[in-house]
Amino acid sequence: MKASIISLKSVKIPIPKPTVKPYEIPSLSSITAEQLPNNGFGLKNYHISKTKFGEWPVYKKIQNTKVTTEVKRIKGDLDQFKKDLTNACSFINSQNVTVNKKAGYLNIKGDVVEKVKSCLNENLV
Amino acid sequence: MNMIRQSLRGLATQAKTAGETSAVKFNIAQPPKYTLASLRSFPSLEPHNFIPLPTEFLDVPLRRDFLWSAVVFEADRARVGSGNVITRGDKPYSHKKLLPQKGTGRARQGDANSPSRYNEVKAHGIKAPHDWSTKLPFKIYSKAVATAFADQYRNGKLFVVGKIDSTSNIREADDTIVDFKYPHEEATKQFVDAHDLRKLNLLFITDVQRDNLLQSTEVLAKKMDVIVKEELEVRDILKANRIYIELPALQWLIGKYGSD
Repeated sequence: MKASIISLKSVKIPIPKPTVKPYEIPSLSSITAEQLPNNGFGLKNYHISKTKFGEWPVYKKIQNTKVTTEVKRIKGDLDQFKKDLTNACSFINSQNVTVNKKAGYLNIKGDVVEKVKSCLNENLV
Repeated sequence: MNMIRQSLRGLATQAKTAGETSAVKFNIAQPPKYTLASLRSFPSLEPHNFIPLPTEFLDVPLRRDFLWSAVVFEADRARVGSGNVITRGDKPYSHKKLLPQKGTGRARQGDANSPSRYNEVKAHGIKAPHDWSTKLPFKIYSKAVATAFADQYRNGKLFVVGKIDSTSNIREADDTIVDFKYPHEEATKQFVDAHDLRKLNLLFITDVQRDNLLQSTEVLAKKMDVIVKEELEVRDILKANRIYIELPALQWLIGKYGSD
């Protein structure tokens, strides 16, 4: 009785790897010109997406004693987003904001995560 | 009177700030979702159709940090780890004590296996086989694959071969898979000549193993890589000057590495 329990414990059942689901190509007739490149996106406009948990991608970043607030997942015109954010959130001084255009990140000096989140919630749906 | 004036002033400033906040507008727009690729036949590479492909796979910005991480990860993974040095545990010499402990007037000595003697024995050495492989989050590796493909696509070096419907016109001599009709080396030579690909690195990514293609490309094996979709690495994509990929293989790669 006892021996069988031990042997069962040591049995490792290999978990089958999930098979890759190939990407399904939509038909050409189902897409519109606005969904293709050169639709005017990135010219004085931008897009910021929420995380899969429905939160704004705003995080506190600590590098030793340097504390900044990082806004991620921004696509398009980062400078315009910086302008709009500093206009909407009066607590942000535009001199304390840096942008990383290639990665789509925006950094604000200091910990203002909750303030930025509530500001985005008020002005963006 | 003063009090009334102050309260009026307060009201005025309040009204002004309220007006300012309502004027704030975020210029949100939707980014493009699809990008078009032409669908070709092989070996003429004549385009016969358009297909929409996701921008999060083929239109991502060129992030060299992702590529660097992925290439280092793959190179580490590829190392054999055959480096080996002799340590005193391997005991190349005798166990005999070299000198008596006392009475010679010289320093105390143990056996000849000591790493402090002038021999090849090391105190702490690497032993074969050694695993040099490092870890990389799958999300980062996926981004690297997408980045490498997107860069080749932007430079017009990605050729998708396949068909999505039977209506498209394809030449009689052509096929919709990346494979030659015959395994002879002449097929490869003619392909290279016809498309002016001399001295270029070519990469063929196939859905399943294509024997004719494998045999035929052996003449120019230095310049050509024939890889099944599961075996593809980021390094292969970056090294290639032209990439010929079958549509099912591309769909599989997007399914594996394309979802955010």
